[in-house]
Amino acid sequence: MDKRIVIGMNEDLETGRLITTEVQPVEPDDFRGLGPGWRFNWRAAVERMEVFKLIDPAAPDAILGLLGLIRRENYVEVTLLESHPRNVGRTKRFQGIAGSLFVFAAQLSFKLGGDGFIAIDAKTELMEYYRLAYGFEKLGHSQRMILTTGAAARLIGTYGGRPADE
Amino acid sequence: MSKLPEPDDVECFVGGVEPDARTSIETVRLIEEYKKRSDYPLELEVAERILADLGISARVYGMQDAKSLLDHWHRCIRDLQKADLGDNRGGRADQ
Repeated sequence: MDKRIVIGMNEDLETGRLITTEVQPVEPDDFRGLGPGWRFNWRAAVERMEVFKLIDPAAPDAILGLLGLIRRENYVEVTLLESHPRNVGRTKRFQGIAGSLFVFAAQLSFKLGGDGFIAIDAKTELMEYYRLAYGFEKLGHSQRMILTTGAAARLIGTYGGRPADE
Repeated sequence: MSKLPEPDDVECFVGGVEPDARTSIETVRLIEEYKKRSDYPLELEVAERILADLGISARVYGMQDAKSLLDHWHRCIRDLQKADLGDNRGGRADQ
């Protein structure tokens, strides 16, 4: 598991600097250092879905956010996504964690032949934000939203994702 | 689409919404329908051009292949289960 994914830039709101972040699959040891305040039980999630972590390579033990996904027939389903509790609300340190994790899911979808399609079940109050910020489209009258091929590519372009081994 | 700042008053997360049992079947169908639109080939072409400009091939990307990633996950779950069994056998000091 030596390959990693460089996702792009997240803003450190304390210093104003942009940092390059990476996504990697979580390891069992990661759960021991998660700390309190997480909304979801990620230890349990790992048995039902693939879980990835967003990290700053300069401080790889500090997880910035977590992503749980399931590979479907022609898309990737993002089932859980959460920023580290320190990175939520007005006192958050890093900006753009959710976007970076969506970018990773979109990249994985392209890689797996899903043409960038990803799907989420969104909270009602976040649907408009997901549409404007990431390009998700609402499906019918449900909470279901999808990111289509074009929007996925534009999102990857916005966050500047690129392969790590280049 | 732009890189909008995340709202401070709403926590940006996914989860906690219980999906309908038929949702994934319906999503597969709707995506297939979407791909049949007459303008979809152009959308795909533009997307591949955006990715190519970033040095990304939409098909060949610098990422673990699916099999090695799944192998990783099987190991990860096995390790967690082993750790759980170890904790149970050893007990905890605070119990």
